[in-house]
Amino acid sequence: MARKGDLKQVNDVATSLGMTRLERRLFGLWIENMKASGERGTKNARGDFTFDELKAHGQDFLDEMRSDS
Amino acid sequence: MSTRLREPQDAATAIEGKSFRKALRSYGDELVLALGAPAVSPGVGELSQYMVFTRATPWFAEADGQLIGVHKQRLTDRLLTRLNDSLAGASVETVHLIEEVLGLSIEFSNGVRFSLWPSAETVGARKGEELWEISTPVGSSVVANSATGLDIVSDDAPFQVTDPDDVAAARAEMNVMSVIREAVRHLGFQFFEARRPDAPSIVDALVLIPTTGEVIHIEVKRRADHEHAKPSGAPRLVIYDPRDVPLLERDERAAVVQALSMTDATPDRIEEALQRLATAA
Repeated sequence: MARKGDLKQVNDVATSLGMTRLERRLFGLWIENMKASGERGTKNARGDFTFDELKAHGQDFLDEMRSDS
Repeated sequence: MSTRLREPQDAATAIEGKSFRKALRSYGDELVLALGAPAVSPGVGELSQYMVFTRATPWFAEADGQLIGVHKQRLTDRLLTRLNDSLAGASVETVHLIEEVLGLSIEFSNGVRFSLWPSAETVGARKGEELWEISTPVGSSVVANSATGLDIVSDDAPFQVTDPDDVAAARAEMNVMSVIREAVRHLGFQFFEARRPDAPSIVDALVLIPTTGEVIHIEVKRRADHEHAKPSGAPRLVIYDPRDVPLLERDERAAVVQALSMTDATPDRIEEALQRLATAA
């Protein structure tokens, strides 16, 4: 069962950046891939991301998504 | 089955017959199941045409009463591996939406059952929260929302799928039953949908012609059904996957058969086919 707080944070970032439904779903997978490849956030010892960090990554994600499509 | 449930259930059955590809972790330890043919998404890489997003909803997987995995605060690599191993090579046999609790149950061909079971305090909550979602390659998703229940929601854009024919087929498969239902209603016939339209090779629905008492069988063929095809002798309307050829040569006993590809199954053509069958019956 996912952590509601983290999902809400991703949802909030998605809303603030105007992500579509599809982009929101893919963003969750994308950010998890980033973590798996070594990118760490400063929110806690697990390397989760703060809201601001997620938002910055969210913008990178959108730039990548929209340039590819 | 209530009217409210019927359309999401019809749409959800689109994942039946689809092969399991992998279980993934999304940010926040959300479990995601990838089903069906590979699909490419910019920035994320290879996914699948159909994706089950579990959100923060409790889930469990079991087979023959043995628990394979259950939701935990952390979706560990070990748990993901166990799920991937237990579902490797399996395909979806049946999918059921459980309206009362906004649950979802997926039975796989190897006997594994995966269930999403929202907590009682979540269901009916005034504040809407997405409990789970099945996304499809055709621009719509089946969504369970704690406040509004089960629904079909339009997507902004589908995944980029690798085979355009698959998109057309999936779209047709999702919609075909509702198109048939509408055509039957328009003709003044009566429509009876199978309570479990999941069992392979059996009649998916019956159409009763009130004036004559004759019955037409409706069969919506998916790829997995062909090996089990057991044609009946009754007049039949067969809707088949356009990626396959209909195996009508097996139907020597069939009195009358009208066959339409799913992508050709428009309301007009279905009506026309039903009328022909009704005349011949």
